Amino acid sequence: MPTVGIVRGLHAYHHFSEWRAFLAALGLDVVLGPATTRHHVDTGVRMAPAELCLPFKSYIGQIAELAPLVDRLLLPRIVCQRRGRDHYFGCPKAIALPDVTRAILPEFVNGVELVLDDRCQTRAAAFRSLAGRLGCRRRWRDAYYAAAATEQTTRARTNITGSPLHMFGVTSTLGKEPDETRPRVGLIGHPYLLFDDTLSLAIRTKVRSAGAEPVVMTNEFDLPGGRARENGYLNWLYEVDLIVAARKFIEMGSVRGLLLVSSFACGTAAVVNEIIRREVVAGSQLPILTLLLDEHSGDAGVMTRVESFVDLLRTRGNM
Amino acid sequence: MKAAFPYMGSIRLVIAPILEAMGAQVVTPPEPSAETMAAGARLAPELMCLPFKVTLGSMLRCLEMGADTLVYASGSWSCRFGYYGRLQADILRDAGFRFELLELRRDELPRIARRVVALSQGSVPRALLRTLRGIRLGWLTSHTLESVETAVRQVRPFLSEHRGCRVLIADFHRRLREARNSFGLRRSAAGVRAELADLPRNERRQALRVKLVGESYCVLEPFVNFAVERRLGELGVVVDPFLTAHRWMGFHGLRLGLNESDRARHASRRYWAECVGGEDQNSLGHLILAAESGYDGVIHLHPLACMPSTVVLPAMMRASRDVDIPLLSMSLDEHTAEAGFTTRLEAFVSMLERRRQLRSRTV
Repeated sequence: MPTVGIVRGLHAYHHFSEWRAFLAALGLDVVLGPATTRHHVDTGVRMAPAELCLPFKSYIGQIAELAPLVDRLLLPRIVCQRRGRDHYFGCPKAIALPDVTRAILPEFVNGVELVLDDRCQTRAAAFRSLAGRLGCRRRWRDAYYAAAATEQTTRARTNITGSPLHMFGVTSTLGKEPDETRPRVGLIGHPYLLFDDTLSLAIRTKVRSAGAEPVVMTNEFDLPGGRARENGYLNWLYEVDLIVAARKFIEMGSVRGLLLVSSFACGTAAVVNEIIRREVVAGSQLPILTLLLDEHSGDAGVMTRVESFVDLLRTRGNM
Repeated sequence: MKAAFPYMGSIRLVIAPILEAMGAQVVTPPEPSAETMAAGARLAPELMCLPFKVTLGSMLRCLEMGADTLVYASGSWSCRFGYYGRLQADILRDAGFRFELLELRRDELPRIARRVVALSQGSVPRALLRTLRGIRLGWLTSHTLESVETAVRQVRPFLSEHRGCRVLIADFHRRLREARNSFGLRRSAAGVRAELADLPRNERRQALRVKLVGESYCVLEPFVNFAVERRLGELGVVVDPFLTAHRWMGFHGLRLGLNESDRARHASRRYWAECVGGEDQNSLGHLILAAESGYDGVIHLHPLACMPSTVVLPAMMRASRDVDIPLLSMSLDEHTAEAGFTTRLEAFVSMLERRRQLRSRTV
């Protein structure tokens, strides 16, 4: 049975279950790439141009390791998706991922593209052509419905467990049950950064060991054309999730502070963090800490900043 | 209405007459300077791209000079450019300024039309006539500007003394601002051409040809690219920017010259499937076209962490190896120093000269 590799990085943190269900239903063997290691980051940094973001660099490193081990490698190209009446775009890196990969690693020719572009074709058509490229056109329809059903259950499970890691068969990297008495900190960032302990330098564990409870809003933005557009104007799909998460944190008043985690040279973060900061200033007085991570970020530096942030939250809480 | 728009290269010379003919007063800020950039960088998000910071600084200056309406080109796409208008307006409102924001977007068209009609005291035919007249004058200005700038680019490497040429261009810009009709425009262009022909020449017989590609603002605005066109010209290189004020208006405003972007898109197809903004596809396509038409090298300028330009860079490097044309890519931000920039430029030019010599010897 031919094997198809999926790299554990970037948008696999959103859609891995769906992709795996689709490929498995086509009768293919799905191989999930290993979790990010320092070695992947170093390889990626060596190969990719300096100004790419950290998750992309490690993605390149992961491809270099995974591609020789599988027959085909899934390269998603997330261009545009429809929510309600509006079109939302992926960030330039999500759109150009297969092209960049081919330019950096021309020796690997086993990539197979999944092009999601709701402007010119439906989601079903996108999956049909993926099946065609893999040579399994016959069973695509059943596989597509199986994938859609899996996507639903996965999303529900992600919302319940508060982490997408169950998709990869990891129960939790955090350990024991949350402690209700500690101050809660809302973490806002892309799941492929927050839940990747190598890239984020285990930020969730750091928040917990500093004496606070990390909370991540995993609900995906699925409000039909609504809320996000109200006063906002963002049309990056995965970034709207972050704005919605921030808004929910502010409305619910369940957290004492917000931790914005993004990577250096993440272009969308410059806009998104600015919008969030504005909404927070307008809506509440939550303290915000912005953490920018790159391949040079040190454990101690991040730990110090998180600790002092949590100290600040405690002091404010006691006042 | 006292209107202001983002300052970008010589585009002000084209847009100002259009807005003035429509009946608006135009506030033109002074050319961007270190102070403008510092003011913009202070208010802008830290990791925002350089054009945002510089234009924010110059908009701030416009508001201080009394502008009450800010006009932005805009779009909803994957590049951050689409957010400039709204984000800058938010930031400037927080800084305490009051103004109206006009974004040139499809869904804003009715509001823009109403504002234009209001400028003509509510008369639709009058507004229409003034708009058409404005666009005609703008188009002629842009055309004149383009023809003179092209001539200057061709002549500059062969001049023995460059000061005269700089004075000539400054003088031409002044005359262009003062010209009120097509006759005035033609006369100013003819005057410059004649004076250009009279400038003393040097001994040079041949010049290197370099294509300038990259993000629009970095290619067009001499302040952020350290007047790369002039500098290269004075180093003895014929520069051909893929984008000029005229072409920018044509491409983005009026969607003209599609044949050229089609050719660029077609050439880049092997490496790049989808345009993500920031002229990525055009840059890549023009790199390949430049190699085909015998250019000596390509210079790619982009703001630090510009998303489209960063992602397209690996593909450009691959293409430059495949089609065998040297590529120099430089990212610019508010900390880029002139000396470092110039050194790299000079090294690149000497490399191109050496390469050409070696080639002519082997042939």
